[in-house]
Amino acid sequence: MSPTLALHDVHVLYGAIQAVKGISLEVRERELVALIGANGAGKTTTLRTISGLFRPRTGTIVYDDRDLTKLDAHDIVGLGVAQSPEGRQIFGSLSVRENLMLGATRRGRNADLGADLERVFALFPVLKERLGQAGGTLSGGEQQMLAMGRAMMAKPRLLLLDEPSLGLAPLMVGRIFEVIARLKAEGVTILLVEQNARKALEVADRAYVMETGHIALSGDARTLAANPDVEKAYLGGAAAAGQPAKGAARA
Amino acid sequence: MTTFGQQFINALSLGSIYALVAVGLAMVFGILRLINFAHGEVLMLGAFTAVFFGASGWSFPLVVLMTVIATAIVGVLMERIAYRPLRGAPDVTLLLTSLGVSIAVQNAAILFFGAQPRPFPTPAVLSQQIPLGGGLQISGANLVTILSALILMVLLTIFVTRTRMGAQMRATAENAMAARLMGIDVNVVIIVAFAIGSALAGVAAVLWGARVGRIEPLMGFVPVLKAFVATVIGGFGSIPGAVLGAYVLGFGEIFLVAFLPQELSSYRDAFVFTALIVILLIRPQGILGSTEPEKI
Amino acid sequence: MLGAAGLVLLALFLAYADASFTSYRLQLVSLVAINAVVAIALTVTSGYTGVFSLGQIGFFGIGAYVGALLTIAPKWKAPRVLPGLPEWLAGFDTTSWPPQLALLLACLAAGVVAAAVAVVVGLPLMRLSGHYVAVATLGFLIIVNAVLINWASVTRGARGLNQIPSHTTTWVAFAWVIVAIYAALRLRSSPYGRAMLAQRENLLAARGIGISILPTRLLAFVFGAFFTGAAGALLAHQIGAVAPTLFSFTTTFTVVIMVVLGGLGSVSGAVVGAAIMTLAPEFLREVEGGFTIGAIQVGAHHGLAQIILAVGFILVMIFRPTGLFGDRELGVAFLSRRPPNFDAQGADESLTPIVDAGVDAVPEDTRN
Repeated sequence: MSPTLALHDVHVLYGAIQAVKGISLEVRERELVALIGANGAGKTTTLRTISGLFRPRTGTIVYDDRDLTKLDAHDIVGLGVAQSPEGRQIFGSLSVRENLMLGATRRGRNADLGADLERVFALFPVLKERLGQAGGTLSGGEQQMLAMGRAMMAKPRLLLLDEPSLGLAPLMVGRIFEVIARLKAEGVTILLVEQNARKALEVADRAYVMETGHIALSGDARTLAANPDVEKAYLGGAAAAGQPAKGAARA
Repeated sequence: MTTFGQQFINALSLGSIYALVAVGLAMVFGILRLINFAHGEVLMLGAFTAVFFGASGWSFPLVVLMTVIATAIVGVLMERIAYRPLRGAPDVTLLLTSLGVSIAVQNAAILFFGAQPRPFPTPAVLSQQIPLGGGLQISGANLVTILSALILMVLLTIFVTRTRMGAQMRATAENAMAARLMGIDVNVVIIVAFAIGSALAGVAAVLWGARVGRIEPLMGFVPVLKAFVATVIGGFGSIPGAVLGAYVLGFGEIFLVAFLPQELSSYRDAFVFTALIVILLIRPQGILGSTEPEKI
Repeated sequence: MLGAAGLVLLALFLAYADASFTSYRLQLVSLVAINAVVAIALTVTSGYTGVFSLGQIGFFGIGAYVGALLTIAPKWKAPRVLPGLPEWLAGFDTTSWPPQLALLLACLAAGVVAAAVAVVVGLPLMRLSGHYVAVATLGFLIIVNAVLINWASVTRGARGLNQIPSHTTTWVAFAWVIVAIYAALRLRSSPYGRAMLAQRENLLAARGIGISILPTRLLAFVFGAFFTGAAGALLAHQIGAVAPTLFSFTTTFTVVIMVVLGGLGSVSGAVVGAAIMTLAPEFLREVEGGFTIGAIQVGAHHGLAQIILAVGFILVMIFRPTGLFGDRELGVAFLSRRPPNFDAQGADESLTPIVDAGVDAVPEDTRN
């Protein structure tokens, strides 16, 4: 069976900088694939290119036999690829309900979204209590839940999660990863970008390690976690000392 | 007291026209960070459309309808031809391009319509004075201006806060990248913003024509400049702010002229812009704006 | 070397023009020079600093009126004509002076007054950035216009001042161009100029290395005001009459096009832009079909010519947003090679995302 998503030799320029220098990766149906690596390795650029925010200079991104590099961002969402972006990017002045509804934009005017809302509330009960509140008034952890819930409202066949644990308190990080594991158990196909490599490798089936725009290593998540190089570079300091202070936490 | 009441009506009417123009500026600015100077030329072309259909003997409501359709088309075309190729360009490039569009359209109008002012065929009903009691009276034009602005603002509020497209518009204005990740087609949102803003400018064109009594190719500059000040007063990009700013400006102008000594009242525009500068300095985000602009 | 050769060529051209041009053409040559001074000034004010001023023409107007009031013969500015003038100025008589000395005084005084106004205006305004400074400086221009129109006891209102002696020659106009070019280039290579460029590129980094932003921007603003004011005096003594309409928003736009067309930040680009924008309407006028008067008014409406220029400008913005020269200067090195970065920039344009997403570099939370 062909993979749900396959990147082949993708190069992306960001301004004058080449952020992604020829990467290839695959995500199969019902798989949870992690993309880990240091800050600035090109992980976020990769996800944004899949979503159509950037056009690759060369290379193909095939999803369901269609080349995403030719499509606009909104059409890619329409095909069932939803993203919860880095830094959450919720609409702070819009209500929680409006944020969630916007996630379902491509499902049309008449879609029955009741069941989807209930599913999001089952994953994130706190959102139900906050429905009428402006998104900007939520705590950092709640905003992350909203961002993921909003992506779920698209009823995605492929969910892209960009740094879902970034800047969150340890307790909240644990809860977010519980939800990711639960989504995987429900059969959602996920590509997860994380700096918290230890946590990511715990939940993932397979993983790719990115370094300065390249895929440096790839393989089974458990094998990678045991790899001494990976352990030294990504699991040693990072997990113990917490995250680098990128995108400061909002309590 | 009668003078005060009369000036109050006048100010309300002037502020209403500014509001109709300012909303279009604010909508487009909110989404594209573009100060669209050519918005005044949309208004000007609307006025010429109104004169054309008015002279052809159409009834007044039909004239307004045709004007609104024409200005909406003009606004969308401007976006498509001049602004869309510049998506993502620096703010200053956008600003200068809109100045270029403004000058090009003005001169095209001079070429086609001539530079001479033309009378605006204000329907007789708008020139009537309607007594309000207590010695006050209101002209038909002022009454229509105030009422239509009120109705349109209510409709606009419903659109922005209660409809799917309204929510998409607010989302795009707040964070265009996230909006695209939601599957929102930002181009459609931008076209809708231009269409609505320009349609409102079309209404303003008719009302302005009825107020001033004549139209000419350069007529767009003053209202758009005032509307622009209104959006600054209210906070760049905030629609309610633009409306509030428009009324503040309308009242400020009318009462400055009414109560300043004669020799100073001719400095009205100087006062307006001094106030603008002071506002920019002490509260650059405007009365209702929330985002803190860059400031050194 | 190149500079000396250029000066010789310029002198030869001006001598040739003196000998064989009609007075109308000579006026055009002077206008190119006057516009070039204003464009160079705006290049410093806005190009070096990235602080976009739409108020430059306000200083042009101030300079023109100040210069004119100094040299108009006393009988034309007596109290019955201009009751608001102070007595010393009303009686100030340069009619017996050598014309070039009177003009020099007028230009310097115009420049100094404009610069002084720029200090007062710039102190608050140069704190603003981006759109806000554009709006505020536009406000300044409108205020200047309102004063010129309404302060009739000094300016004669909308009628404007006339009887200004025609002292400006092509030679003196180009002398000012050379001084302005020299000053602008010297400024750029000085620590002050480097500070201007540094804070344009990156405000935070510039502040980090100890550049104080306000004085840096203010210096550029005042520098621009001085030369623009002096150019205003040159203009007044070129056409012999000034009126508020000369210093309108349309004129501002024309000068902005000159600067942007040449490349915001390039001094030689400004000169080329000024030449194009001054001479192009003359050539385009032939398209309009034989109407040859009123060429003096920078901001006059030329119908088709203006449309062509405006559309051309929009096309430059779309296809070559850095202007013809970008930041670079015309010189031997420039002539001998292709512009650097152009390909790379062209490629960037198509790749740059629609939204200004700060990938991996900007913490997203700073946006909210």
